[in-house]
Amino acid sequence: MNKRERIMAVLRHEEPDIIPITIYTMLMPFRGYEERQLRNAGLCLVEHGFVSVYGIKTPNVKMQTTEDIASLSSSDHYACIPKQKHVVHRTYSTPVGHVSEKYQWGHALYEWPLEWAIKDLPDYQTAEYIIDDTEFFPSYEEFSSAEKIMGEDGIVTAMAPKSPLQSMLYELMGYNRFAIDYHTHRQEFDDLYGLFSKKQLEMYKVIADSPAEVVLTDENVNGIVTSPKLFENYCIPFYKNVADILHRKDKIFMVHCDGKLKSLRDLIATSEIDVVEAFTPPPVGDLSIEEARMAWKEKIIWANFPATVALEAGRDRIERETIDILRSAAPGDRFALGITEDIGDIKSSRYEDVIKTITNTVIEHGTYPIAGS
Amino acid sequence: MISPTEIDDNMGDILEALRACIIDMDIAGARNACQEVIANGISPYEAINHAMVPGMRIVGEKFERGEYFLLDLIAAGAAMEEGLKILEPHLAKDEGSRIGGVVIGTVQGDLHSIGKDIVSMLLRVTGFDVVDLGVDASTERFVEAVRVHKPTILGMSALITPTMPEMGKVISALEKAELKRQLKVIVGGAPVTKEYAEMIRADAYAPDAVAGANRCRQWVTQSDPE
Repeated sequence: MNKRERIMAVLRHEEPDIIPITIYTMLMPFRGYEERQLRNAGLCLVEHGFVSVYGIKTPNVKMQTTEDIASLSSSDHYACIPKQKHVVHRTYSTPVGHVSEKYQWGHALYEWPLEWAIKDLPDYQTAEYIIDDTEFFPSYEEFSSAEKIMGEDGIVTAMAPKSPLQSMLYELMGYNRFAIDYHTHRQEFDDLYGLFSKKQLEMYKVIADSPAEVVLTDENVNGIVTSPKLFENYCIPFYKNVADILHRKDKIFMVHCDGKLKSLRDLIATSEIDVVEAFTPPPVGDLSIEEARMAWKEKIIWANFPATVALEAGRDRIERETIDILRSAAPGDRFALGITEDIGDIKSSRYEDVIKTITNTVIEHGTYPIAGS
Repeated sequence: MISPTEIDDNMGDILEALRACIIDMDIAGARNACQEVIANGISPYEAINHAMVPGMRIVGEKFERGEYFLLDLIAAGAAMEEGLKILEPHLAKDEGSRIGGVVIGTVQGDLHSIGKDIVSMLLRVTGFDVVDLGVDASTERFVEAVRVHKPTILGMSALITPTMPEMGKVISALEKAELKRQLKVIVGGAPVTKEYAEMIRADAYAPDAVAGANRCRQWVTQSDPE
């Protein structure tokens, strides 16, 4: 099997030749011989973050952006990941009012919220106007081009934003406002949520019509933050609606679940998610691969190699940990292993060595079916 | 819902109602109950120590039992802080004395704040003076804050793996500046493990926000359960 076939076999509940070992392209910034060697050794690429299959317009909302660049070193110009510490201010003006937000670039792989659009109750009305004004349209060229570039080396997923609840929590209001409004202004909270859900489902219809076979929702599910009650009342019904849309067009629905999931284990089992992506076992997560496989018999687990181990351990322990992960997933059906988070200083030789160790170990010990421990 | 216990006197009823508001995350209720405290001539110090702090303790216990989650801690903390806004102007100078000082922050390169904010809030509302350095705090800022504020405890948080070594750098810098012996260092954050905390010579590791706050209280009181 080539690398794309290997991943797709798992995602289609078929038998792979070897357990896929994958990495997000953005986490593999080094280029050239070493990178090619890793791909040739069997490391599969996953392009997910920078390819969209839809465009957005808001005909009646005006957005103004300003940026403050705090620092810029000469090497920043050449880094694959933006390192400039700059702050982006955005103001959205609508006929019913305006809201503003502030983001920082340069620390994480994505922009990072410093101030959220919803700061007070009157901001709900403006936020609702913006959401209601949003139109989604197909934009498939970029995806097709990315697939052509990827070839047989991996897969390109259609990226979808966080679900309405997670968007409200992380992007629209922040956790303080979210926690307080959920308890004290439930009507406003639920009205906004309802509108947001309706709009996002329009977006998923555009995604479902795209050439992408696999859709990844950038959810960051974490049971410590999202309680079972919230997950059950908001996320589960939304996932069902999304799955209905995607499954009608034979798409595979993956959700990025990289947090602690023990408290959500049984709810995830009942959900319509096809793939629990970035599932992170202990010591970072709180649910073992065995427990997860037992609980989610119909789902594919695309595990994330726990970054803490990569940072702390030497080559021997990383090898042992990789073998343990493979054995805990034995015989290996419905299972892939990925590197889905930073595993150290991306420019260091150690970073490359960790990836190489994990890859080589999976190729050596991950032939399907794997013998159990 | 927590039902107010049957207490005969008016003071007991008000304090019980206040405690229940904290536990039930009832922000407006906590504000009203604190106004009742003042209107009925009850000592604000009594209200804090016999209603609000025990209420937050129960919230913490519910978190540890998996009944409450991070957002519940935030809402309960917001209820407590809303009540404190009413009570604080009425506190006499010697009342509500603080039990210790904490410098806390998320290390350089990391912008995550939720865990650190909750620990900070839990410490503040239960009697600590907290100097919160915010996120992306450099080693130099931590060392300078320890030098200036002379805290009993330094808390550091890292939520992404590449920033974890920053915690070790701060501890080394404190040792070099001969400031480490005067305080306890506690570290936490999703990717941080007990083994990692030991490796960087931290005094304690907090698996979650409530455990972190409990450990800090234990250090200064030596009476709370770990």
